[in-house]
Amino acid sequence: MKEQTEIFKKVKELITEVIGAEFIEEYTVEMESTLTGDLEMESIEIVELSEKIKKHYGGAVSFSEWMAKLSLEQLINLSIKDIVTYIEGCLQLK
Amino acid sequence: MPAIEITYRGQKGEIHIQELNPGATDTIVLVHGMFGNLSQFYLTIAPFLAREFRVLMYDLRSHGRSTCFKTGFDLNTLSEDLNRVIIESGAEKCHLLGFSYGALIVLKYAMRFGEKVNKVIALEIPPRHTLPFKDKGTYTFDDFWAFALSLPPHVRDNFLRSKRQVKNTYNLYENIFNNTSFVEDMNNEKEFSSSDYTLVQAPVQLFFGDHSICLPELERVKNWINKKTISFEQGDHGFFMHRCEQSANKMIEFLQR
Repeated sequence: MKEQTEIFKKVKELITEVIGAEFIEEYTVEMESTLTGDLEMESIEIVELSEKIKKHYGGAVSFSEWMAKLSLEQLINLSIKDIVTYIEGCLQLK
Repeated sequence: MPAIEITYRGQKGEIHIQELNPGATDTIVLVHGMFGNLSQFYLTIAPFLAREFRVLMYDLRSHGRSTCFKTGFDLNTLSEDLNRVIIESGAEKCHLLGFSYGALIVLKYAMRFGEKVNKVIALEIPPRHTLPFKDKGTYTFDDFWAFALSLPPHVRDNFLRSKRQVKNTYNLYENIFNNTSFVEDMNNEKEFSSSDYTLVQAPVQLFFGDHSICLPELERVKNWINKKTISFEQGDHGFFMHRCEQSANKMIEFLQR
């Protein structure tokens, strides 16, 4: 649980970097927030987020491959919790 | 974001690029379609292609995170941008994949710089537009909305994924139509003829959705390409965004044959 909280904090920080600190205040960034629905992220912003996650967590987290396996509907409904759970799983396997 | 610098008619700018699996021996460069950006690949087939290849993707000029240029939307100039990306990559020879207008760009490249091309994947070669463009400066949100709604479902859903996506895609559309040479460049561009296609010496995979709106173009050009493989996958114009792994596997099979 502690690890989930830490990963959430990091992911939130990375999303803030992508969207921009000046815009993030317009949104409530919670564990259940969806990237494209609640946070209105564009696909190119999700690419930026993916690159930041890869850079931060390194090779243990194959974020882009994981996302490519999602259907368009899953991608549209992708939440921060999904990402946190995925990263947590990768880190446990490390 | 990683980028390379280009200068065109005195205007300096950057082309945004992304790379997966940089350590692989063979390189494939992916070129997206008009009004899209490299996320068309990054979030779909690119990670699967990266299991076997070094994958380079870039945003066309004025698209995605690349600099907005006022001119240079003709296939000659866009294929020269692709050449810059390939030169910067250090690859002496590479595979190319282009989607929709991107397919025309990679085919143009193969016609002009054939010695640098291993194989070409032409995804969904589009037919030449049949409706005349409006005058530059007259495009409105209604035109954009009609354009968006006319797109096949997979492409449209990708464009209209969120409010910010709609707003920014509209800004891109409005800027390109009203403030650049795009309309003029499109009107001046000639359809590839049979003799143009004979210049493509590299093996080409013509890859289409089985109920794509572009199938008539496949019928028009397929006999003009010397070394061709014709592949289909279930779906419309954006089939590879929906059936990513299946599509990528067919591409890898072609490239490694």
